[in-house]
Amino acid sequence: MKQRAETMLSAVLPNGLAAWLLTEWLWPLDTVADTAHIGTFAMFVVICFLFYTLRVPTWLSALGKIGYIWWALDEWFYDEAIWDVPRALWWDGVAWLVGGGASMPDDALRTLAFFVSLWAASFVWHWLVVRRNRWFVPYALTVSYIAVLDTFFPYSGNGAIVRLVALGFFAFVWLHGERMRAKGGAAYIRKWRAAALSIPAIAVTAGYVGPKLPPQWPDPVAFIRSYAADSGEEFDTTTAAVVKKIGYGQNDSRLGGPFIADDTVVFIAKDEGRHYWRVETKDVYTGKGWESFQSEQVKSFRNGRLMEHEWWSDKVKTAEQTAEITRQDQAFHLVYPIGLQQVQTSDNIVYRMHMATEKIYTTDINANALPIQRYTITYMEPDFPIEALRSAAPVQDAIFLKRYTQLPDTLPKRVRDLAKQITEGKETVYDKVKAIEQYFHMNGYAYETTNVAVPRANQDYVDQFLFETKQGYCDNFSTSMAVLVRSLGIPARWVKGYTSGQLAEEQNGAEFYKVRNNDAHSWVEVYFEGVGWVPFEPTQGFVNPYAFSLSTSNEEQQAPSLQPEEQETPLVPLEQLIEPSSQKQDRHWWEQLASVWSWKTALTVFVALAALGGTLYVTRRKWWPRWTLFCFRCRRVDGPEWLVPAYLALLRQLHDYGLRRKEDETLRQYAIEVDRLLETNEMARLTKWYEQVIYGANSDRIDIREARQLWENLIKRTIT
Amino acid sequence: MNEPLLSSIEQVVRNVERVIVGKRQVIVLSLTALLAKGHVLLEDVPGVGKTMLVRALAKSFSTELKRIQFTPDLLPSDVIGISVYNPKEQQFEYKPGPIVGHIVLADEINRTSPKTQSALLEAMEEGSVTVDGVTRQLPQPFFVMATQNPIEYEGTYPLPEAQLDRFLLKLQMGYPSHDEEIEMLNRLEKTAPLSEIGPVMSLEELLALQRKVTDVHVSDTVKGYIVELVQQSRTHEAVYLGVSPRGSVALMKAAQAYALIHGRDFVIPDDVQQLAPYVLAHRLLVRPEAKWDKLDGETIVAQLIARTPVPVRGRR
Repeated sequence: MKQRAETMLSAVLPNGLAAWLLTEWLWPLDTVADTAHIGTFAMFVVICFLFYTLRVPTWLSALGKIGYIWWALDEWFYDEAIWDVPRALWWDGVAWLVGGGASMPDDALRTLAFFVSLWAASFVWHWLVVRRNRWFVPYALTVSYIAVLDTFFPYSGNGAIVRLVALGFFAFVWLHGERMRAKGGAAYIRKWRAAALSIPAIAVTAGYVGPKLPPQWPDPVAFIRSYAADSGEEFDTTTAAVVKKIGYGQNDSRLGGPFIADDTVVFIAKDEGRHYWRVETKDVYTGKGWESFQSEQVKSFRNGRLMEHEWWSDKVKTAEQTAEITRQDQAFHLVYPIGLQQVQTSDNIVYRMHMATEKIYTTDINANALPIQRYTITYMEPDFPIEALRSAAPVQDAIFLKRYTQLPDTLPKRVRDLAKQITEGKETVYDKVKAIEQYFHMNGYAYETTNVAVPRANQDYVDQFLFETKQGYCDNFSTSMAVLVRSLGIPARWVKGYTSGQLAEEQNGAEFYKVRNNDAHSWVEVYFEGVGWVPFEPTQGFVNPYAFSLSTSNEEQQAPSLQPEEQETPLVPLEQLIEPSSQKQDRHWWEQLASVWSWKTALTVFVALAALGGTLYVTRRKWWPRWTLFCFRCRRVDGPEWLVPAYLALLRQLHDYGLRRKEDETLRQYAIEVDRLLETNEMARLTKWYEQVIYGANSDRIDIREARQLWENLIKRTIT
Repeated sequence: MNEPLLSSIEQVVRNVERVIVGKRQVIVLSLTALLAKGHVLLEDVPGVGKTMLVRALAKSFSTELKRIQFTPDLLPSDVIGISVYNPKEQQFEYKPGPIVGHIVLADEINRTSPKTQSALLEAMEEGSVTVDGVTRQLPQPFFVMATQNPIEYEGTYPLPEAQLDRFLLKLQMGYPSHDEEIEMLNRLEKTAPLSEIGPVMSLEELLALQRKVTDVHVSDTVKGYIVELVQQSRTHEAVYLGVSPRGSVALMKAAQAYALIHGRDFVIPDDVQQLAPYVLAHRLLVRPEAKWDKLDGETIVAQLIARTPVPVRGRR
């Protein structure tokens, strides 16, 4: 009975593991390609292996598989009766061939091809894994496949890796058991399997459940990309942005999760002062993130012409300034400061501002996208008068209010309550907004890029940050502020773009700023009736770059509440502000190193070290004997104390040279072999002296001068 | 291993080789047992020169060969001697048996009854015989070479394993090669070589060499190696009963003699490896089922040697 169970197991298990390994290739396709019905394909693989396991005759299993494919194609693509499927497929194929294969073949054809390749793959897999017991190649291929997908695609291979590790252990235990059986140790297999399987099971479970260290190295992909971008290769941010992990993203409908640094320079700005760079604004908060307002309205303006967009009323004092932007990548939209007046570039470009997002696209006259590299802008640098903001009346325009105070019904009540609580006793709109902005600077909120949670399925993104996690980066802070402000009926919107970046150099009053992917940022704009959209900065460690001023008469009264912050901040270097103190304390050495060394320096040092190590390894046969020779020449000791370590070093050297001594070989037998291959008799002579030392009674009878000479000659013979 | 022999031993070996063709290793091993004060069991088919070897050895030391042909009706007294009443002296007088000699050939030892076998083996072990309550020392040197026939099982009393390990070495002569056999025929064509050889070493010299054996140094390293080998034999999966501590002592003693024969005053692992098959193989009790895997004492000892790493660093 036991015997039968054992035979059954040995028939089922390898097939099961092979099927499992092959299906691991299918699951990521859902994410990285637009393949649907993964389950049906996986089922097909399982069926293939089921036929192998049951030793179904080839013709029968082929029939079964064809039937399955037939059924699937009929189910997905053809409404016709099931008998018409081959005919339909045939005509699809003919149509494709007649088309000269120019276009992608029809979906049904491609699905058929995919099924057939799965069939072939399962055949090869079965042959390798089950028949030949060769696990390594399929396993290694699968692991690399998952690793590559996890690294370069938005696919997260965490589960797959855990499963693969478990499978690897399982296969190892199984194969070892089979080998034991082959050697005749069948009696122990059971016990051994139980013991061996429990260890990986415990390890995998513990690893899965236990706490995990954050990644020990910054994401290398960002670096590789930035390197590619630096070397002048074409680099498209729009595709890069699909990887949510890095820099400025397009899709904000699902916010949350860690944010990994990326040093790629996006653009360089020659400018007159610091301000934020806008890309777009978003209005619709879904409870998980932001989506764009649906509107087709476009405002276009020509190269070098005024854009005639009213940013603020004339209550806001403005100063005209210019900036010159050089993008490091190809972009089809502008980064621009609020208050933009006109844009100038060498090409004949039409700028089209989508009013829904205020994103400005660069196109030709026919509205085809054109990339833009260098452009000069004129903009108004605002100075917001605080009294005007204070005296702003509540907004009345109902349509406007509806759009900018939109909130999902699912927003928990405690968020609205918190907004009321924060603004209690504040009379004016401005004071309320300011109170909310300031709220995040206290109350235990911390800036954090790596350990940031993703909201659970039915949890609100803002609610989670405000009440549970209290740590996050700009998206958490800005979204929370926008939602809190909106809940009070004050129109607010969410703005995405970049901070002013890092001041690289100053030339004749012009300042050059480098703006990197790391500088991607989000903040809030609040609408004040009679003034316009005013930017606010709730994120901890960041400072609103725009000026707010009191008229002289009110200055003394208002100074304490606002001025200290505004004055202190310019003195503090930006880098320090970005890294709040709470995070600094537990920075690891590699993070400190990373902050001192740029990625390139680190890579150069690494490559140099690797090259040095590689050279030393490759040339070890040349220098290591010489080094040994030098070491032992310099030894002060004499007699046996010299001979014993020297002889042992010689044994190691000969071993590395390729003359291996078997464990049961005596020194004499070995010496004869060495002498034969090196065509000498020195090893035998030296070995006699060594034997005298370690096996003899009188170790001082050796002729150390002769021994030294023999030893040196032998070492020299091993230098190639 | 072509290490030169001690010159006096080399002379003996050359002398014996004039009679026995191409059996240098067996001669050297016999001399090893002789110097280690041990005894040899020769197991081989009749006619390969066992008796010739012993006689040549005896002649080389200018001593007479005592020979006991073991038969089923042989009595212990036929081996060790008997007290006979002398009417002239009016007292019993000891008539020494053939065991009282320097070099004794005990031929076909497994053909006699266990009673007689044990009389011989006790004499070998004790170096003395006891007749009528009087213990008499046997002359020194005392060297027994016993032979037994491996193929004839009818009417034999196989030696129990406990008795077997009284022999220091168990050797096999083996057939001569083609050329060696022709050489042998050439020599025997006209003359009888055995009658032509004379003594090349006195018994006193032999005794002196036996004493020198105990001066041969065995380092802790090599002792460790011997013990490792012997202990491995006790855990080997095909072995029913491993080598006893008496086996370790025997291996060491034999190695000492072997080192001396090769002109060294210390033992090296090579000595141990060379001797282990002859010293250990007959001391192992192999499981009956192992014989189906063609495992016998010799192959097991070879496995033991292959499994035991040779110590190449001193113990300091």
